Amino acid sequence: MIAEKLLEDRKKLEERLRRLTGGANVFVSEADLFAMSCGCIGIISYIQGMQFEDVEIYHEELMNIIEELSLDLGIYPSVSYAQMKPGTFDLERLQAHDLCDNCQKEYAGVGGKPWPDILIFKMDNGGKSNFTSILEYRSSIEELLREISRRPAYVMQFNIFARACGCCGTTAVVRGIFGDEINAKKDMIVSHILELSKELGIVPTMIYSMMVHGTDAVAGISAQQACEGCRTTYEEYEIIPRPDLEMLYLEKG
Amino acid sequence: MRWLSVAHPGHMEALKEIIRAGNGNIYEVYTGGSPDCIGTARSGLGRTTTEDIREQVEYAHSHGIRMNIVLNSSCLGGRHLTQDGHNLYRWYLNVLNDIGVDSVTVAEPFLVEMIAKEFPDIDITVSCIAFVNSPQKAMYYEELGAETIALDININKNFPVLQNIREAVSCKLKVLVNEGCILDCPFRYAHFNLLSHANGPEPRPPLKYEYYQQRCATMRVKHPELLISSGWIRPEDVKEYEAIGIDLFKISGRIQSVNWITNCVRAYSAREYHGNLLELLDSTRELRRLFYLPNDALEGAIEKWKVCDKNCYKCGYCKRLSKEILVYSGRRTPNEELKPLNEYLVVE
Repeated sequence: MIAEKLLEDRKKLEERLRRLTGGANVFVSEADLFAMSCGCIGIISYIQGMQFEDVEIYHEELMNIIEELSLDLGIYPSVSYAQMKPGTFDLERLQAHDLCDNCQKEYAGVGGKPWPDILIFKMDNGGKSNFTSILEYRSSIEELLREISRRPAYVMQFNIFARACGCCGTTAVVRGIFGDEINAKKDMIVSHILELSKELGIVPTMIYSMMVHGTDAVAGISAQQACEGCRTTYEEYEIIPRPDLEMLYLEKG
Repeated sequence: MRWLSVAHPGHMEALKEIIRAGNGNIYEVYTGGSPDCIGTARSGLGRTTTEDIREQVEYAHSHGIRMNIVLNSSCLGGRHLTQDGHNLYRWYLNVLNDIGVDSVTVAEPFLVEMIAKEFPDIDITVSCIAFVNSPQKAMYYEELGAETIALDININKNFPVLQNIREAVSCKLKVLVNEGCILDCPFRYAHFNLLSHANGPEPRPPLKYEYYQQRCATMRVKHPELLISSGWIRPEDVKEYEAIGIDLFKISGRIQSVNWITNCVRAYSAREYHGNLLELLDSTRELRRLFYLPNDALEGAIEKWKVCDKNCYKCGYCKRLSKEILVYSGRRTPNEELKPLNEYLVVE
């Protein structure tokens, strides 16, 4: 199942980056598969402990590592790149996308530097990925939210995530829908997400909406299969992880 | 006649592409300087060094194009009024002066006055973030030393005010043509202040969640007419502004990709565009992937806006025009469709 594979691949990526750079401090906090509202799909890995110069030195190796990871997860990368933390020389993310037509135009050309803060490893034609069903998962949530809100609410990005602690799950980053609308159709949303999670091999222990700070606008809807450590924290201490979360579903073990 | 002021992300590859796309219409390019000194009120991407700027100034000059460095933080945290801060700014401006930078864009009146007095070789553009929206304010900045004033985008469609400002000052006037922000946005001042700190000297706030950006996208989904009433200027309508004496037309988008910027430059250079107007607007990428606003359907609307009294509550013209908006669904799936907005929302 894809979630399990993603958890394993995150770990493997971290080990490979540590071996490559000889640095025990390299940390991959999270690896995600994603589908964007424009039609791009891809992988993102969040990196700590590497610098711009590491990317320059290990350019070839990083390109191969990110391509292998991407192919293993069913994404044929039409672009792969390293993204720096804005205004710094710290590596923030390694990414590979199968680009939509519009984004293909934006990334193409310009000597491999469409933006100053990214370093492109490789460009190719898109449309060769296997895991395109992630686009349909994104779209299915969007249609549900539009039906509930009666406005063109949208899922800007749908992610399947695997974290270093062992948690995995999905997040739909949403715009144009409000907390009361979600709560009024809570059962419908939870049932849709549980079904979708099952197909991805995720057994959510909780489903929650994340609010835009201090407002009733919803910023995201997540389903999380908590790792043992996080699960214990949430259950034993009855902690809602953050004050901006509204729990829609909580399965106690 | 060169009339475009174009956003530049900051690297040489971008500069070359932008100049090529400009086809002789570019008056200046503008880019951010070092965030460690003054910073800007827009997101910054790269870390452009002094040496990078020097090379790019030379390249721009060899094509007859001026280089503007944007130092338009809306909040300097009081640093500018300390001796250390003043010394730091003076040092940085000296560096920019030495490498041949033609002009700087600033939003803080103190900086306008200080630069005019201490750096006579550097021209001063007053940023749109100084919100110059009346003849009085324009006169005040001109007296402080402004060579150019970038006007508040909220008056872009208010022709009587634009004409009054033109009559009141003799400095160059510049309008932003493609900013996609909400008209009279309630978040504007606070958002620029936040970004000024996020893109200025340390300490920078760790921005995991961007309230203003998220809230603004939500407002436009709830009220899509806000996409229409915003202050953008269609490429076809530039001539209306030239007719009232506007000198320069600024293409915004320093954080967009180079190909996106060159697409805008070509559209405005050609003074026509057939496609989704949102592809030209410097707002979040997600909105242009959600909505399709056919530019051709807006032909002639400028005549209404020229006499509009900006009372959206009573008027409803932009709301009626919003029925032209289409909505994408199921991108890159077998069910991909472009549906009329009224399938989701009732547009009266």
